[in-house]
Amino acid sequence: MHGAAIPFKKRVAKSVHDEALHKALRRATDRFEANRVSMLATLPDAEEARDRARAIRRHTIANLDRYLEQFVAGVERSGGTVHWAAGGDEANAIIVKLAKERGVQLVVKGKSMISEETNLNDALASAGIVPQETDLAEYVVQLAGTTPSHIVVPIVDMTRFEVSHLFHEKLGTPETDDTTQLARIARERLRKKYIEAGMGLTGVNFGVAENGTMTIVTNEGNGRLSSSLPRYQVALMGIERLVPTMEDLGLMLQLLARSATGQKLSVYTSMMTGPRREGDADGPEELHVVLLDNGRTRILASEYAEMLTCIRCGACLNACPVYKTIGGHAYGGVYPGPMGSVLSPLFSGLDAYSDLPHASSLCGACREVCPVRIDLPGLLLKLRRDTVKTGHRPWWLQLGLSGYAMAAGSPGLFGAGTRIAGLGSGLIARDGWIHGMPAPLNAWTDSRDFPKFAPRSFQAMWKERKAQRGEHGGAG
Amino acid sequence: MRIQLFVTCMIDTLAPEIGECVVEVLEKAGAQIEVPEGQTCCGQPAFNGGFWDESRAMARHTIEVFGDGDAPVVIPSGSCGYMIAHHYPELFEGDPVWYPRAVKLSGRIRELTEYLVDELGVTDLGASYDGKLTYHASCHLLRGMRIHRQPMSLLSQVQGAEIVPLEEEQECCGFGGLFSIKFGDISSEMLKRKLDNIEATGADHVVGCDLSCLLNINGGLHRRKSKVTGVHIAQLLAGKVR
Amino acid sequence: MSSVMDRIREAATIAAAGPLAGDRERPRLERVAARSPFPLEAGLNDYVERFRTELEALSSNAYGPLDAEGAAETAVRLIQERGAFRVLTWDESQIGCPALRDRLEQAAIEIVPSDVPNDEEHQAVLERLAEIEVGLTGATAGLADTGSIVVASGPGRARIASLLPPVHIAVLPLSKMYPTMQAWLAAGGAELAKGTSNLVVITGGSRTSDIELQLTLGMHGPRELHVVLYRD
Repeated sequence: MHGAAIPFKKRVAKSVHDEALHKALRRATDRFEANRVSMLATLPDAEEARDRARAIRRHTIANLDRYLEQFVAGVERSGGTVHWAAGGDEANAIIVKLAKERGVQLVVKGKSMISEETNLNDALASAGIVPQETDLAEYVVQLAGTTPSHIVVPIVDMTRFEVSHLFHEKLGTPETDDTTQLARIARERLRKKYIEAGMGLTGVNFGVAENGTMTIVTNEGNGRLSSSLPRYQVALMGIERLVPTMEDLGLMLQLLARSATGQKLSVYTSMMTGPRREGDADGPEELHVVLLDNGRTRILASEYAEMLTCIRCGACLNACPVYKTIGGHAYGGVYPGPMGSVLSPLFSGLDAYSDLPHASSLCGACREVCPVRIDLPGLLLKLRRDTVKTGHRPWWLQLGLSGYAMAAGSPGLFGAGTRIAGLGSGLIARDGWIHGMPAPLNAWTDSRDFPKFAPRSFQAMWKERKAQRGEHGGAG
Repeated sequence: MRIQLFVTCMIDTLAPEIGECVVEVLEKAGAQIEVPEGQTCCGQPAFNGGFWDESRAMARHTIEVFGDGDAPVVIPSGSCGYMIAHHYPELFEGDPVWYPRAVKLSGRIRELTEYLVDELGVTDLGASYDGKLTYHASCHLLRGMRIHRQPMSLLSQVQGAEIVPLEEEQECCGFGGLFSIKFGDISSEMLKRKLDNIEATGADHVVGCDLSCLLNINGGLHRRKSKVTGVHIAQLLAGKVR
Repeated sequence: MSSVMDRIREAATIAAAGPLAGDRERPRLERVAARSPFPLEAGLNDYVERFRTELEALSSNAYGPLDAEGAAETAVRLIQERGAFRVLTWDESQIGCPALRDRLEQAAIEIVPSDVPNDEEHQAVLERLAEIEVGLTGATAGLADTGSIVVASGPGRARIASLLPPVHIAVLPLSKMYPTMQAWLAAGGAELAKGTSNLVVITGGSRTSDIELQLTLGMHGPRELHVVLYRD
């Protein structure tokens, strides 16, 4: 389903020069980033709040076993049922079984990136159960048979015309360029589904360890409808999505929407604790929480444990100039952008994603905006080290860097190399500039000139000057 | 004030005239400069490429060259400065001999503008420029070393210069070292945006503190036959920019 | 099942000795949530004004503060303005505004109970209730700094009343106005959440910007949110 089979460079080539895509991406990212900044500024101590959020999330992950035990006890105390899944297939099987046992034929889904990890929709469909996405963008993605390209605005790369055409083709509705009309079409279709569905499935933004409460946030209301109308509710949750207390949850909620879209709060912040209780007017009779590992414990035990503190806000995508240039699909995994460049290799292995950690200029914009201050560039650098260790290194780079390292360790060699470079580049340069170089260096000269090397290095000139002044070594 | 100068491999081999300007500016501001012999490369390209063993070799060499003294090591580059200041300790974690030496050297690093403004207290070097200038904030300088106020102070004291703000000033120019070769298409798109923004300012020159960015920016400006050129802040402060 | 837990235990121990060393202990923090934007001397009037400003910025409306009669009249007027004659509602006792039931009856607005059974009638009941144009509820709390209301479900407090109809009217007693979510959590909100199967913090009307970042109000949840401030 996700494009890891196609080489990264090929995927990039499709989108890197797409100006319409760039415009669409910037329209979203510029707005989210500007709003993030202004909304964070409404918190008198935003920077300290981020420090605290980082500390609390790190503490949670360092004690994940303890807090999960507490969380499970809370869910069970409130009448919910907990299921453990080591991998995606197991999670799918659990959910399919729950649905089949209850005669469920239709499942309405709130937006859940983790269900993309497991390919849940395919598993349900294979079992003859219809999975129905309800978030507008995910609904479009499902109809189009594509994948999300941003974790907060999944169809950021689609135009209204494309959506209109899609609806016209798949639903038989008249074409329109009115985005509100298009939204209404989806609303009308999906309203019936919430009522018909036997099961509602959502992700979980945060679980609260102290009482087994789960938080889901949406702007559309589909999370509420999916978790309130159907008789059976399932929450699919990554094991790392916890905070210790309700007070901690309050802090995370102050940062989540601000970081994601620049809202103070999403429209609907639901807090669910167990299924409907005795005497309740409505609500699902059963609540099942599927706790999914799917590689998280492996990450937890590694140098990359910090990545589990991610709260999936998407701020890093909005800040990343590479994301804004290539778009979400180029990353080929479930998660795009800087978070994806770290998660995809960690979840699915370096073989499948050896390019991703290198496809960054390490500009640090992501680290700057992360509400929990994950050192994303630092993690990317470690992943690069791992790619080299596991043999994913272009021969020319290995050769070039080994040679350079050797020269850099020997000033004589370095100086000689400099002189040769000066001579050689002088030969091929025109007016002091090199306009074309052979592969792989043509990646530079295809769009830029390169200056020739200096005939005499700074150090050579400095030595001469010192000799002239009759000085030796230090400066007085 | 006695300092050691790490001129950087790029300035050394590609733009020694910038090195001369750095010396001129530092001497004017009152520094006494030693240029330790045998300096080569801080090891960043290898480190960023994931070749940490090769990088460590270059770092060891660099640590040896600059010795274990106390004088500030001034470096006219945010990216090289960040490498030594932030990554050298990481490179030698767990090494009983080299870790303390790496930590020592990393603590001595001062980027050029940081040294001039914060340590020497100098913002006016008597430079002047008649026209418009704009400033590109290099990523490792800005977000890595947290240096922005200092170059802005120095620029504000350049007599006669009109500093025009650069749209998306803080956005990466697309260099990223080997990234510019490995992912040349992404890099060149990022550069294109930066160059469009630079030209839109109407400035004569774009000033930067990192030759790495300037190589990228100038390479692109020259290719599109632009009237604008990129200059290192040392060149501007030394009065070498017309 | 428990093997996942075993792996987690093992991995957490490694992490706490490695990259997360120093995070094993709960950090000693001077505070958890970010500071309140209100100055120390702020009072109910300030909270009400801020609440109103925030809500209006979200294209929703705040009315009052009004007494019981005024609040009831406002609710009825809002219903009538929309040409509706049925309302999906919480039990009157749960809304806590005494004049409400009488006013609704006088205006011949049918009060439709919002209980939804989980038996074979489930779908039919929902289909019927989904036709109703206006939902009327109380509110467990108001959160001034974000213009939010807290709606907690339970006996006589159906979730669907604030969820299914395209128009949601909420009566918020002033005694339940808090400056921030943190204040509300500390004053009993956290306990309440624990004891409620579903509690939602509602901040404006349902919306989406999924298509070309163009804002559409009223996606799946109520398009309109009206908060009637009741001076109790």
